[in-house]
Amino acid sequence: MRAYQDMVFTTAARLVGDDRQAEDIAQEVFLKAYENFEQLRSSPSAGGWLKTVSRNLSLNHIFRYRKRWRMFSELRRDDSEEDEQPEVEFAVPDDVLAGVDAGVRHGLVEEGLQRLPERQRLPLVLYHFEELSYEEIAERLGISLAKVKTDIFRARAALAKLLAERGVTAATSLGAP
Amino acid sequence: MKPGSDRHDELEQLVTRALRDQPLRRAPDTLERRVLEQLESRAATARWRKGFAHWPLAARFAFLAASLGGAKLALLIANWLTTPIGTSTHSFDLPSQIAWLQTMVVAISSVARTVPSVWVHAGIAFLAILYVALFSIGASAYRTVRAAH
Repeated sequence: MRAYQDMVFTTAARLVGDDRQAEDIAQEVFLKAYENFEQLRSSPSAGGWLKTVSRNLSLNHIFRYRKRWRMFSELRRDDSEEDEQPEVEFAVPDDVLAGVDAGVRHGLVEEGLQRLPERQRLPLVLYHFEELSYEEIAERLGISLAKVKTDIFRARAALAKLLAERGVTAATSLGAP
Repeated sequence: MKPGSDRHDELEQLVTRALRDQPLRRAPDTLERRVLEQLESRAATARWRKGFAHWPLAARFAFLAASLGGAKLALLIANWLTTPIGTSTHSFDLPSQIAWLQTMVVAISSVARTVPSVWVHAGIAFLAILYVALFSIGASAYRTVRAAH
């Protein structure tokens, strides 16, 4: 369990955007793993199994919660499929702000991810961390391919803007040499 | 000014680089303890209190048989209640220990038959209106509280 708990928790936390809920989901994942212990004990793909279960339980959690509260809380739906790809409304940062510690940078990126709205965070995380294709994301989230692309683009723009506001730019946090 | 598509590509590369090198987050220290506690709790839970899938096979069959018996009994009672008094269906005798039950059911069904159907429909409509009103008040209250935050 110790070997995989960070991976399971991280997967859930990035998808649901809430640490407390992510811990609940991680607990559920390991309880399911215990039920399948005989099968997983000698399996070389135990890590992949745990990651898939973690992703599926996180998405199930999100959809269950969303269904429960949609009629109460969503006064309007902001998921028009006719959305055009918007222009980037700010300058993509390419200057250098040296001196930001790696740990701080990673923390800021995680914070930025959590601050994204769910409709942007989900496809972004599924694309970049779960390595799903646009088509798979559209199928998994039940939305159109065009909307997946638009949401991912908006998520990238919002994340870059959030990081730029915190002084984290291309050459410091974004891995440039 | 860079063209839009170039800026989109630049943005994609920038975010891809940022996320690609992102390390795993550290799971809370409480996670392992919570899982172990949950496993201990499950192990200590009596079998019959676990889900149906955890029951022994014999217990599952017995439960299904009892459920079928219960359903058949419910159908018999429903049939008995909907048959007019005085027909042969009502002529069977229940054991004396539960004869009061027969008397009570006969009394209730007699009263139920005398209630005009308009009253029944009006009562159902009234309850439906109360339910919708309560639901609307709850939804409005939730939205108000949520908007306040």
